[in-house]
This record gives sequence, C-alpha cells and structure tokens, in this order.
Amino acid sequence: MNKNNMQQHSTERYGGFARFLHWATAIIVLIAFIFGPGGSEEHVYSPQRDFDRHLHETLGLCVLALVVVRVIWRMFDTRPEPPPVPRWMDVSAKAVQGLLYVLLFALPITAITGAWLEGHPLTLLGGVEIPPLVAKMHATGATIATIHTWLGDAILWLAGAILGRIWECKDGYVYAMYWGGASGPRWNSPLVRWMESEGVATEFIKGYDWETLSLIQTPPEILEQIAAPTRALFQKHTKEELLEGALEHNAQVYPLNSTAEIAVNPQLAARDYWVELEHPELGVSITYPGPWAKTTEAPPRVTRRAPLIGEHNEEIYVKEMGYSEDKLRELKRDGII
Amino acid sequence: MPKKLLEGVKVCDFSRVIVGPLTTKPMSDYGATVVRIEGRSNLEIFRIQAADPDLATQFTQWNTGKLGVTLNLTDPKGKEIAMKIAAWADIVVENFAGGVIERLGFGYEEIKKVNPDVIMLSSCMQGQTGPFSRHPGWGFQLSALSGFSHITGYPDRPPPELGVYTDFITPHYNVCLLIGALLYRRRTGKGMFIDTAQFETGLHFISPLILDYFVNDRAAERMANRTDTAAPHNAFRCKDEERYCIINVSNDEEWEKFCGVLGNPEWTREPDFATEELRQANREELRTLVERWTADFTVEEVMNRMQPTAITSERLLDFNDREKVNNAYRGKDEDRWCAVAVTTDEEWRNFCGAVGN
Repeated sequence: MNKNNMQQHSTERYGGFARFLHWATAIIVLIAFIFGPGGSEEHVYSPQRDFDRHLHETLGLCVLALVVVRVIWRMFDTRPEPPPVPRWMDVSAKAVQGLLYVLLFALPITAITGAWLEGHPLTLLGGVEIPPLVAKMHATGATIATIHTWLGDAILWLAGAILGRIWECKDGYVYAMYWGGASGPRWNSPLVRWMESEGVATEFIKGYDWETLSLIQTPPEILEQIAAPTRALFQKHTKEELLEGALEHNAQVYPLNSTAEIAVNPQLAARDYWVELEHPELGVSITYPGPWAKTTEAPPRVTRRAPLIGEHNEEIYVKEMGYSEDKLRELKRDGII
Repeated sequence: MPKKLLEGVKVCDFSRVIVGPLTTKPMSDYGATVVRIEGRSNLEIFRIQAADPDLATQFTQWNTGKLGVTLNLTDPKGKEIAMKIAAWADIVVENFAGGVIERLGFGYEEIKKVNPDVIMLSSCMQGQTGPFSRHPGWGFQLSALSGFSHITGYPDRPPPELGVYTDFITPHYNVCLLIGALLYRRRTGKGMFIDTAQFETGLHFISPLILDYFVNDRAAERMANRTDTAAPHNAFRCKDEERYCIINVSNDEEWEKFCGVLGNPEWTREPDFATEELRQANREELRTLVERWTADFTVEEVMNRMQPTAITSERLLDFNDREKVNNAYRGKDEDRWCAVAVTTDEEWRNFCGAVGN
C-alpha cells in the first residue's frame, strides 16, 4: 500500500474506541439473536430455556449500555468526513444508520417493558433478578414482546443483508455479486465502469478500494453506499437489456431467467440448441433441450422421444435376442413382459 | 494389484475453480496422470482466498491425485513448455472464459499441430460459439441464467441465493464425453474438440419444466413448498417451536395411511379432502388442520409415527434449529473455518461445556 493510500485511510476511518464499540455491539447483538429463546411466552419461560434466556437478557442489557456509551462518545469524538456522494444517497445512508441506532435502543427497551408488563422479572446470568418496576398488563406486554422479536429480525436484516447478490430490475431480478479481497478490483470494476457510463456511479463507488471489502466486516453504511448506485443501474433496465449490457461491459451480471425467457434466449438459438422430437402417438413434435456438447467428431444427438411402455419389445426380443413371435405372445400372456 | 481404469491416460489440465477440476478429478481417481498447470502469479480463486494457498479446502477437494506444475503462460518460454505438455497428453482440459485459451495460444487448432489426435475439452459458461460465448461468469450467475434461481423460494418474496449449482452439473457430462472420446479414438484413431456450456448442460436438469413451457405454455414460478403432485406437502410446525417436520402424501393410498396415523379425525372424512385433486385445491385449509395435529408432537414424534407407515416424513434442520448446531464457524485465523456438528442432546451439552457454557 503506498503512502497516499495510507493517508487516505486514516482520515476515512473511525477512531479505535468507536470501532471497538461498533464491533462489540455487532457481536453481542448477533450472539443475543442466536440465543434468543423465541416463540410463545410459555416456550420462552420454560425451564429448558433458562440458560438461553438468561444469556439473552444479560447480553441485551450490555447492548443498551454500549449504545448509551456510543451515543455519548459520538458527541465528543471526531468522526471521519463522509465521502462526497449525491444528496439522495447521503440521505439514504444516514437513514439506514439512524434506523440502526433506533433499533439498538428499541430492542432492549421493548424486551424489558414486554417482560415486566407480562409480569416476569429480568434474570441475568448467575441468577440475579430485576423484578418488574411496572404494574402487570399482560396483553400489552405480550404485544410488546412480539414487537421485540420483529425488531430483532429487522436489525439482522438491516445490518447483514444489504449487499445481497439478487437485485431487482425493471421486469424481475438479476444476479450480480461483489468480490472482496484480491479478486475485488478485477471483477467489480467492469460493473462500476458500466455505472459510470450510465451516469449513476458515485464518487464513493468509483474511488472505493475493493480489496478492503468484506461482507462480514465492512460496516453496513459502507455496504449501503455500494448497493445504492448498483440498485440505480439495475432498476433502469429490463433483464434483457442488462444481459446485453453485461456482455458489452464485460460485467458478470446475469438475469434470473424463467423457462419462457430461456425458450427465446438468443445464445441458445445461435448455437442451434433446441431439437424437435416427433411424438407420432400424439401427431405432434415437441421442442426438447438438445445435446449437452458440441464436438468436431461423432457429436452426441438427442434422436427420439422416450419409449412408450413396451414399445420395443418386438424389436429387441425378436430381432435382437432371437425369441420367436410365439414365445413373445406366451411371455406376454404370462405377464412376464 | 489390478490396473486402474484409466492407467496410462495422460491429461494436460489448464482448468481451475470447479467445473474443470471436478472433470479431471474422477479421471485422476481412475488412474489417469493429470498434470495441472497453474501460474504462480495468477493463482485461482480458491488458492487466493485461503490463508494458506496450499491448504485451501475447496482446492484440495477438487484436485486429489493430480500432479501440479507452475508455468507463466504469458511468457514465450512458458508457452513453449506448455505446448510440450499439450503435445505429450492424450487429453487437454480447460475452462477459461470462452475464447481465452485461443488468445493464450492453446486453441484446439494450435494444439492439433503438435498433437494431431488430441482430445480437447473446453468447458465454459455459454459455449465457444454464439454472441454470448465470451461473457465471463461463475456458477452463481449460471444458476440464474439456467432458470434455477427463478423457481426457488416463496412466490411473494425475491428468490434466494442458490450458490454455484451448475458447477456441479457440467462435470458429469464432461467425464462421460472424455471417456466416450477415448473409446472413439481407440476405434478410429481420431481425436476431437469438445465444447460444453454450463448453460446447456444445466438446462438438462430443469428440462421437465422447459417441456412444460413448450407443451403447455406454462412458465414455472416460485411455489415455496408446494408441489403439483402431492398434498399435504409442506413443512409443518411442531410442538418444539421453530422446528418443522416435512410431510409428503402423494396418493390416495398414502392419504388413507396418513389419516390412520392421525387417528382418523372427523375432518379427514370431509368431502373437501376426498380426492387428490380436492386435497390439492384445498391445500391451505389442509395445511392448517395438519399443523394443528403436528403442534401436539415433537418433530421426532411425528417422524416416528409417520415413517413406519411409509409416509415420507423428515426433520427439517435449519438455522433456527438450536438443538442442532451444524455449521461452519470462522476461526481465529482469518478465512479459516471449522465445522461444528451437534446432532444429539448429549452432544449439545458437551458442546456447551467445550465453549465454556
């Protein structure tokens, strides 16, 4: 890495303590999610779930504490300058980040109020109990507990699923993936150049160092800044246009084809892939997938439809195996063939 | 010690990642001498992404038994040596993007000059000819192009990620083609060029749906756990919440047995469920009623009741199945993983102990 890059990095990154808070929160949320007992109240408070629930509640309180520290720290810490991006993208990145903060607060708050209103104490690891500080209102508590489970799903979705590989386009979906590490620059750049040619590439995505991309470690607000212009490109076009464009730009973007689209695919037509097989018993011919290889010698061929039941008994038993017509009738009569 | 099936057959292997290596692996396991050529400065993705390129899990799996040599294919001296290996071989295999091998100077016509009866296999995404022959990609995208992604998942949600499914289809055809070509060469003395495409071989695994389109004009869509040939056919929630049991009832005979297992409750005799067609038409209602029954039993209890009467029933293990941790976990050393499988309660307790409860 050259000196310029290093300088650029130091101004782009959050400070060490902020990063510690970020990752500690992320890891604790994930573990709390995994050990969340889930399901009905009966299930959550069954004795077999004691360990899961105690761990879940302990970690939940840790999340609340960390978020409070993080918000206070944010007020005093110098944060990196946000990269120059169009206004709509800046707004969407901020919205995602804001929503994450709201969820991080709402998750423990709904859990605590839900449990207390249902009449349950909070129980931490080691058996420490925090009895309800509010009067019991069971139905309201149960509703809030349900909202808590929805929020739990939402935070994992927001934090984890932003940079997917299946993208919506005008008339369906296309597949496009971003690579991290050493393969990143080589395989992601054609797609970025395509965005540039259509005027949807942002300064951020044009200057992004793909080698540093990691779907596990890159924070969601960065992933969102990669996702936003990508979505913009794909939503402008149909699957067919995107397949054509992908070829032109050498980008690895492919449509999620339906069988109807496969039937009219130009590449298969150009390679003379489909074959027509006669179905004399139906009086029609039907289009089938053709041979699975092209060869310069003795090419494989799909020659005829599948046999009807016993269609070739005579051909094989009499002509090939030497059985007499009488023997064949006898075998048929006895239910052998 | 009997001879191995392909002993004496020599393979020059330019291939990488999965399709090519998984084609030459069975050849190697059958005794062929497979010489794998790779560039030190242009290693394949599995090697690059691993902490230790020599122990990359995927690489080691698809390349057992092969011999590895390094060569810089862009250097004239490297090209000369590679051509010597191609001349020595009975079979040359490559799976670069369409046209790349020709640009490198190892197209079939070039190799034929030094090895007239060579058998050469090129296995790329969409074939060596046609307007899209040069389009690079991976099994990820080809599973989408070949129609598998479109039909996977729930009708009201986007399709899920499918992985490199077509990577595991093409090698079956490739191995068959290469062995056929060896037999043909023995008979006629002639080699051949073989061109396979993940797109075209993949379509053979989805061909019933393609025929359905051509014959009935019906384009398959995502249909979750539903099938047109069985009802009930679904994953049913059991007593142990967030765990599901899969039940499949395909015909009247199975339906009778199924009702028997349920203790022939009133609703099973309702006219709405009297025939396969009606059960299919009323499958949502049926699902609710069956789930009301499964809700009283654990997954294992449902299985143990269904299976003796030959009703297809199986546990559905998923990420929510906390009793059964079965996944790959990132280790301390970056990009190296360990697999953890927990299948019984006892193993779960041991697992909890091992991670310090």
